[in-house]
Amino acid sequence: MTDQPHSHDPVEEFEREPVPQRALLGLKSYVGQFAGEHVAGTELMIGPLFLAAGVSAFDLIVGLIVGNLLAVLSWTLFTAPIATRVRLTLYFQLEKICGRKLVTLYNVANGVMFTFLAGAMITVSATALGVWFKFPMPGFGDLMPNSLGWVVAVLAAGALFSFVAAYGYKFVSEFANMAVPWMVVVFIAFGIIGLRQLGLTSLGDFWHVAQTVIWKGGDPMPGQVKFTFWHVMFFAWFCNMAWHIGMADLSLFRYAKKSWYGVASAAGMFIGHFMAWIAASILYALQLHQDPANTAVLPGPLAYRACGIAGLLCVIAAGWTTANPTLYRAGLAFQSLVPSSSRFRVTLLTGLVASVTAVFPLVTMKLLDFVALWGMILMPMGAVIFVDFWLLERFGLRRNYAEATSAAFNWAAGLAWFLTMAICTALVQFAGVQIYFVSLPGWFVTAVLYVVLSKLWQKQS
Amino acid sequence: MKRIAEILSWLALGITLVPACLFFADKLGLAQAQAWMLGGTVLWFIATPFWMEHKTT
Repeated sequence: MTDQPHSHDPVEEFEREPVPQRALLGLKSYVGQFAGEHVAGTELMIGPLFLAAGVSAFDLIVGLIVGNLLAVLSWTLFTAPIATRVRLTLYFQLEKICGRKLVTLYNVANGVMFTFLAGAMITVSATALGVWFKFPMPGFGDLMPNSLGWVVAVLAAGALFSFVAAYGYKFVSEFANMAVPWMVVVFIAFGIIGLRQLGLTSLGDFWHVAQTVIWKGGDPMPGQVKFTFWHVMFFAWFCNMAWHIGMADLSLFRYAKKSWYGVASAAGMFIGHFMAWIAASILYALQLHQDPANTAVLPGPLAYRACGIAGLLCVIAAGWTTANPTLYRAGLAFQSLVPSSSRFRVTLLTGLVASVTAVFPLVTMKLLDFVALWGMILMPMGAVIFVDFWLLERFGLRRNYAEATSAAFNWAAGLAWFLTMAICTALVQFAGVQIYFVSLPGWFVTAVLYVVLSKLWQKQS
Repeated sequence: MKRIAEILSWLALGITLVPACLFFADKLGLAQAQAWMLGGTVLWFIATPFWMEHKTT
């Protein structure tokens, strides 16, 4: 998933100015980047969790195709057109609209979510250590650690990841670039070996095996929500919502020569969020096929059974290479609160907090919900940017209001954000709307609120 | 040297993937396939830094 922050770090960042013509990038850069960044450690959790949610073969395959297509369209039609027109980072664009203080609040929310996500990636990598050292690991649905070995392994992996993120980010970034093609190949191998072990001997029988052995549908496992076509579709569409509709990838696409380069996201979606999720799901189906009582979702043992040590290395690499930029970006987000603080110390501290959260497999076991929650929390700011850019002047209102008035906190944007989160939370808690669906109406709520509140706020000012 | 390393990297990806296909076709046992995959992995990480790092720079 995305699950991970983009590690696009050109030499010149143009943090507070539009990207100039000479620094623009071609389509190939984006294809490679998306393909690499969406094969993350968390894909190994998401695939099995679909299966645990009782999804059927048709719902999964078609839901993923449609959902990923919608995600690609979101990048292409929402994010890239604004990015290539203003060519500013998300943060600078937000600062112009919302003011510095509201952006700081956005940074904190982003940093907290990054920290938990990094924790999930540390958890994934620690499951590989469990295969080597043979300590008991959390079972399916466990929210608490169940052995000292698990706690020690997670903390050791977390401390190592944190130190590297704080000290040697660049090295791991280079290692990650190098590992990606190999990881993609190992994920394909997961699927091929898993299918053969499930009894598939000819590709012509795939659909029959998929329906009757792998994604049989039926009831979900205890504590899981039953996934239908709509769940899969919305999950695939919105799992990177913070990046496309939430506009975080303004920072990425501001370098694009053309706005249609958003289609490059298809490389990430259909390798990482289609092939890799399906492969991971097949591995879990194999485990259940061999031992129905073994419902634990542990990427380490799953990968080891299929591909041996190469599989274990893939789990560690997928977790490590994605936890690292996630921790780095979380550190940067928190550092923005106190710009004079040491980035090394802030990143280290963030990593230690992530490691502690990783000990408790809560986020990992509830990863589908967590990803949906992340989208819901950050999506409103994307709606604010969209409305501010395309619609506000049509209503006779001023764009980039904070910049125009030197306001540190644009209450129209702030209230639109807070009220949307409150309304979405109420819909989930009291109206029975599942979290996977709530962000779609939430986007329209923010859009309307922002226009109405801007009318009031700008008139008053 | 760089060109040779690049060829070895592509070979390594093949050594990682082809055994899985051979296992699927019942031409190779699982343990053997896994051993080849490990070999491919090692070769990939030995050969690739010689050209990919250069390309990045």
